[in-house]
Amino acid sequence: MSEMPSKEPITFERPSSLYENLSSRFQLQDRNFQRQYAHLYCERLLTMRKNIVAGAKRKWGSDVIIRKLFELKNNEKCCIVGTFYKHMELKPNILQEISEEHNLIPQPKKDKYVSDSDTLILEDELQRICLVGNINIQKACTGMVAAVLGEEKESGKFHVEDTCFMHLNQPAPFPTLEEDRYIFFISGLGLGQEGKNLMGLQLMVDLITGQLGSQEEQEKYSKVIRVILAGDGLSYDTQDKTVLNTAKYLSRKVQATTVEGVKELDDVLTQLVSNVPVDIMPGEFDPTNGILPQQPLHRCMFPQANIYKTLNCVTNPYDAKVDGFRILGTSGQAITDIYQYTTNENRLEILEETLKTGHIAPTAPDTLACYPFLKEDPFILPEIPHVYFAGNQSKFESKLWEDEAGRKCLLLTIPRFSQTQSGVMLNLRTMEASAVVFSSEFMQ
Amino acid sequence: MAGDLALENIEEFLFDEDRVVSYKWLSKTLSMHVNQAKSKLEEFAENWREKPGSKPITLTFFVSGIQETTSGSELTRVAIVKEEDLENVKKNLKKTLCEHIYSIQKSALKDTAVLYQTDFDETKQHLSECNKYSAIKCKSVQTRSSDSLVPVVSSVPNGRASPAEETKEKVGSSKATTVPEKKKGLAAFVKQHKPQDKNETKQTKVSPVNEKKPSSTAKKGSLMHAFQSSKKSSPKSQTVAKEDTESPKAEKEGKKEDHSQEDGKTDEKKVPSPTKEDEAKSKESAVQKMDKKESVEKKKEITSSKKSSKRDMPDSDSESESKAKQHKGTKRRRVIQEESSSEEEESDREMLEEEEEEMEMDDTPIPPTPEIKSKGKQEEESVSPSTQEGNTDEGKKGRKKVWKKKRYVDDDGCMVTHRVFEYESGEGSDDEKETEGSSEKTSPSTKKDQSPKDQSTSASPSTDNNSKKESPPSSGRKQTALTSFFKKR
Repeated sequence: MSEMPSKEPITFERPSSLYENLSSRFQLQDRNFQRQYAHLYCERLLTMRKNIVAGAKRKWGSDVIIRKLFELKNNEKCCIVGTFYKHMELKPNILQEISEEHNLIPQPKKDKYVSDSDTLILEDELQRICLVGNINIQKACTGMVAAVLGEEKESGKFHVEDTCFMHLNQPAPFPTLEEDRYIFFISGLGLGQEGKNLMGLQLMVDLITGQLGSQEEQEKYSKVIRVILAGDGLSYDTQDKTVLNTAKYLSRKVQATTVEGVKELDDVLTQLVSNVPVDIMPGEFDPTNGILPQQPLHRCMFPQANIYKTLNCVTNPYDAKVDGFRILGTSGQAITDIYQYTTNENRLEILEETLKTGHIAPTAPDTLACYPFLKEDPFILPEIPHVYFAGNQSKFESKLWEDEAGRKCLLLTIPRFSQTQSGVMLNLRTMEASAVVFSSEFMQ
Repeated sequence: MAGDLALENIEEFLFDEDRVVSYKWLSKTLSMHVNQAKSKLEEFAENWREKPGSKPITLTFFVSGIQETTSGSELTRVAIVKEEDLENVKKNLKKTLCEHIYSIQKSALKDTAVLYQTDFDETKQHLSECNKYSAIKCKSVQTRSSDSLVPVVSSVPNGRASPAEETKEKVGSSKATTVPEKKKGLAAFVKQHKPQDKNETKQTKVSPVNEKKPSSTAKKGSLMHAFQSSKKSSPKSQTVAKEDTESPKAEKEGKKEDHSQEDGKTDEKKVPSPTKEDEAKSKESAVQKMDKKESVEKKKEITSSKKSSKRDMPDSDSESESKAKQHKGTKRRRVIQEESSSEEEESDREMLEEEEEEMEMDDTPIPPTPEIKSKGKQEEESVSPSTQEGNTDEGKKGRKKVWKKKRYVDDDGCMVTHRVFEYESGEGSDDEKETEGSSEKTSPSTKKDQSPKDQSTSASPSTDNNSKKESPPSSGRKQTALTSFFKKR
């Protein structure tokens, strides 16, 4: 059986790659929480308007009338540009909660907050107008900036004929590679959970680091040039809110619940990082700030893995260039949030929607917590990336998005590892992604 | 050769050590390439089963392959499979990419947890070279330079761990340096004053402060070390005894503190020697007796001499300071408890405050001379930011004597000092302290004037006469009186 030469086993060299981190716009320079969020919407509209107007003219002809809301005339066909606001009856509302406090009617926690009575409103700098007609209200969500073509009727509502979103460029097409190069995506390791069988995770680590498998397998996995850990290294179980409600003198000696999880994560990372570059993005349950953009986990938390330069703590959202491929993604909060506020069931479609509208997290700051930016909205897509992913989704899906202009983008939803035991292996040469599922129990 | 040896090793691991031998564990244990380890396991399994009458072994296999999901999409399945399921699993895979032996064990495994644990323990032990024998090497993996690491690593304890740890470390280091000095000082002090103190207590009714330490030390004699460790406790008990006679309020508070601190010491356990407790107890009992005598003597003394008033002052100071500790925060106290004695803490702070203060502290066990005091004032003023801490610390530790010094120093400049000052005059009672401290920010002369009045009003009736007589002497006078006292000795 021993076909392998026992004397000199072959080892494979992991190829190096060009890497550039483009996430600097997600790094918070100052921490000023005094501001209101109006600036963010204003900035978003101002920034995106120019592009959208250009797109509208391209789409509907250069002679299309573009009006501000106060210039609207009844029954005149024109184009208006503004930010969507979706009025939703079921949307959790703190004011409502307070007002109903006396009646003790808790607002139900729902998977989705959509209802048939939802209305879509378009706001520009000064005014708002209700949108009806040819527009899918249920698939739109608050915060998207768009141009709509139509006319205002006597009812005061704007009857939409067509919609146009931002048009983004893609500076460079997919780079062509001679050889296979892989990027391995994982998310939602969910460490720190008691009684969790980590065999699947260990198999993944061993596979990527070249322990498992035949030589052919090892050769393949030696071409994994990067591992991207897209958030939620720690489990939801580590979120112990009771600490917040107990007096400090009672909880002073209580160890934070995340500590064990972080230690486990450190072990896992150390094994990976000593063999392959790893980008670790923070997620919803990770010990960093909870609002977008999440700042990098401090590498001090990983005293063992920190020894290696290949440990790369990055922001969420994360934007980087690997071997010429522009890779952009989030840990999934934005997608999950939109999922709750639209009828769209398919996470990949939601992801695609955000790509089309040119904004990573439109529902921030409405239903998704985000930093009150003043002069910028870093969530506006600067260009069409080559790979656009969202972590912590329910299942793996991929789609090569392509439009008539020749722009291409590979969309990926990365499933939670803790639930699906799977990671995603992306071959940059062929732009094909496939799920790799690890069985933590004996397979039968 | 090596191969045969490896096979023998596997047999040993399996049947002698009763282990689960996985390829990964084997490669780490025998320092061989993972693929080599895999082939060795296969070789072993084959050979073993060919042998007639050999004990049974079970195998697990690693399998990876393409699997078709119900929805028609393909995914790569990676799994560990028991030997008996191997064929079945492979059938279900659309395409088998790879299979190899994963582990050998004597009896069948119930779940993968055992396998995981086997590898995990080994990996954990050698985490720094966990990929040493893997089939993939990565050149771009570099370790951070020590320069970039150091600040980060060091900041970990700072940022997250409790400050207590840092202080502990400091404490440890400072102990080594400062404690010996104290010992010397104490020892010298004991040697010099033992006989005299005894005489004094009986004959001259010397102030209780001086007596106490000498008396306790004298009785224990050779137990100098123990004395040092338990020194704190004994003075406390003394103060309690005194306070009983002087002012009931002070007593209660003082007792509480004393007990808590003492309990902390015994419970929390950094007690260097098991005998310490016993010693402390014996000391306490002895000390208490002495204290009663002293307290009686005190009253007499107070009336008779200015010295006594000065010596009494430290007692009151100790009380006030102990309270101050409580107010300032539990942190310090906790540290103290952990350290098992306040002396250590004090020593630490002394270290921090630098040599000047150390010198003072060293002197503290011995009744200070006026010269030192004057120096101390100037020095401490210059050091001003640290003086507050110093005061509280000294108060805990040295009790009466130490405080005297520091208070004087403080009086010149700081608010804290002011309070202290007044306490001197009005011994023992807490009420006096507060009222005086708040009221007085004026020059030392006014303080002096006020202090005696306060004392007289607040002090318990038994001590009233004494205290009144004691208090009138101003700080300056006291100092001179102290010096004269030493000269007498």
